[in-house]
Amino acid sequence: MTTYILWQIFDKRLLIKEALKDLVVKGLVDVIVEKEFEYYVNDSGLQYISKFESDYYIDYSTAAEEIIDKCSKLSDLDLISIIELRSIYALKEG
Amino acid sequence: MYYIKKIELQTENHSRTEINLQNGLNIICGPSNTGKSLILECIDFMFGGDAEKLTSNPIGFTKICFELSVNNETVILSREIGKKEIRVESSTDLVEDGIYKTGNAKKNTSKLWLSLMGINDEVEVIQKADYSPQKLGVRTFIHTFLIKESRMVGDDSILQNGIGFKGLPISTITSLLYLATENNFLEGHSKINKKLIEEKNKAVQAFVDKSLQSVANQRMEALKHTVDEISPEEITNKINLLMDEIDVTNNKLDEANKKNQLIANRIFIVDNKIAESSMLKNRYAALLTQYESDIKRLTFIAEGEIHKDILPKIDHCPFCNGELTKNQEESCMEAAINEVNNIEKKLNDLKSVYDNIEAEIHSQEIEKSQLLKDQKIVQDEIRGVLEPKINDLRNLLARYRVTLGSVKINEIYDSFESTLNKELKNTIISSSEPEHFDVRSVINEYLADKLDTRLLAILKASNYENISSAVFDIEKCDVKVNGAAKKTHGKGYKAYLNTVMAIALQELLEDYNKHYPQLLAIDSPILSLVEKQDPDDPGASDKMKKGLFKYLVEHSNTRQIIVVENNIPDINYGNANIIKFTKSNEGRYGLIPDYRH
Repeated sequence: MTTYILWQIFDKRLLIKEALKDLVVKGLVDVIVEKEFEYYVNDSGLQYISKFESDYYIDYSTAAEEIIDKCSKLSDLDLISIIELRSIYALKEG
Repeated sequence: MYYIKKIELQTENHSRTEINLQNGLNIICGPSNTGKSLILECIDFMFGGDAEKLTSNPIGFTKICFELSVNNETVILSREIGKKEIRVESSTDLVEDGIYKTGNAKKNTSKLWLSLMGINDEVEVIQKADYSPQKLGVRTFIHTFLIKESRMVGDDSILQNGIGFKGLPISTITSLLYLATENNFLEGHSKINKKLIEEKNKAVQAFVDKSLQSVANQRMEALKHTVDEISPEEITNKINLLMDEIDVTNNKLDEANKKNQLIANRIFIVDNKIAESSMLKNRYAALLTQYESDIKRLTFIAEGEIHKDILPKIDHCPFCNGELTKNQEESCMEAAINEVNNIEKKLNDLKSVYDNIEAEIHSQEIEKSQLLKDQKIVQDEIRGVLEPKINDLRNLLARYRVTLGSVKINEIYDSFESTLNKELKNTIISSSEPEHFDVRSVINEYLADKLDTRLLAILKASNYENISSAVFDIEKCDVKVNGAAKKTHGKGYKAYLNTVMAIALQELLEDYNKHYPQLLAIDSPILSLVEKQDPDDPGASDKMKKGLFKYLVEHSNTRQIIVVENNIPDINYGNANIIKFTKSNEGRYGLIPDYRH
């Protein structure tokens, strides 16, 4: 049984959206607007995160690297599709 | 009812002579050597006796024939001298025709005469005091009622079959008793001869020996299963002690089982507590992780706050390039520090609680471990000590019980052996000491009193000289007159008393009214009775003679009486058949009219 709740997906999505917006506004992430929005950590961002040393950061960055490694090549639709499938599977499992 | 109607004699020269008789009194009288006594010899011969006197007689008899009247029917008996058989020609169903042999043949002369007396079945009577039986034959008692001259004057009782016999004539007495009572006194008694006794004893001994051997084998077999040779009391005590010990051990086992149950219950409770504590511990651990994560996250936030200075200054929006208004950003550092402090306090408390719960679990684990050890000890005691002990005790108890049973069996065997030996002894003793037929007691019961009365009555009626008492002397089986035994008297008195005795017995049998010979034949009842020179009673003997013959005349209605006598007293003989032999040319000379001595 998973503790993952479906609504959290949307909640996290909003949070991520807000967080990205905040990071862009703070100048740590740049955005390229073409067909769709493309975000990437800029130099300031890299410099900023290079200052972090805490355990949480290390764990977080390790996890983020794994996610990026697994999901960077996936489109939003792919991600949504995977999330939905997992969600349905989780629902079935109860 | 039968009587001899005619006696016919045939001689060597084929001459025939006959004597006609009647029912009632018949008197054949005449001088000596006229053949009177041969009439009794003929009767005896026809009753199965030998022909000694007849064959030794110079007349030369060859055949004797009797014509009997049986219920007014005629039966002819004929027997040749020297032959041991009687030919019977009968016109009545009471007597079967044919040949009747003397001796022990199936169809013998006894059967003939007994059937005339109404006895048709084969009967056994007691021969000796040891209950030896013999067949009832006419020869065992007929001598009592057929008294020849030689026995008439003898010392012996007319019950004795012969002269000079000692002891009681048991077979004659038992025969007469059977005629009188139809009781042969053999019921419930059996004579076992000596050889048979020995064989029986041997068989009993063999049976007992075999039984004892069998008992010994069975005893040995039974004792195989017992090893302890101890007394039944000791075994009983041991059984009681064992049962007590089993009770004690059973109580211990019950207690141990209860203890085991209590420990098991306690283990269950402790297990539950450990489970509860472990669950709490897990929850506390999760909370600890949560708190630690919170601290890490707060540390991360604080780290970001610390390096905020290096963040670039952005005035315009990267999306719309609009001017960004400067927000007064507040530092979250202080709040994070406060939060971390709070969390650390909670964390410390939680750690303390966690440590406590861990200590509690540890303590419970120790308790459980101790309980398991206790349980093992108790279970080891139950399974390793108490239960085997009870089993051992029960096995021992069973063994003692088997032993006790064997002891009982032993006692039974002892008792059986003792009984067998005792029975053996009794059986052998009783076999070697056969039962004794008390003939005196029987005479006393059935004959003595009645004979006493009758003898006295006859003697008084026949004018016996100075008669005051007459008894039947059981030891002598004879009459005792006025306290004096018969042998103390002279020949004439002996003959007189023998005649009276025969009459008394005849009358006694008639009184019993079962079976009786219906014949009394006596030779010379008064021949030797000479006149006594008694000054007080000069004619005493004459009175006695007359008295006897008068008695015979008056008491001859129920039987045939044949009296042979030289001279008969001068009395009124009434209807008596008197045959006189004259020994002269006047009248009938003798038995054979033509024969001259």
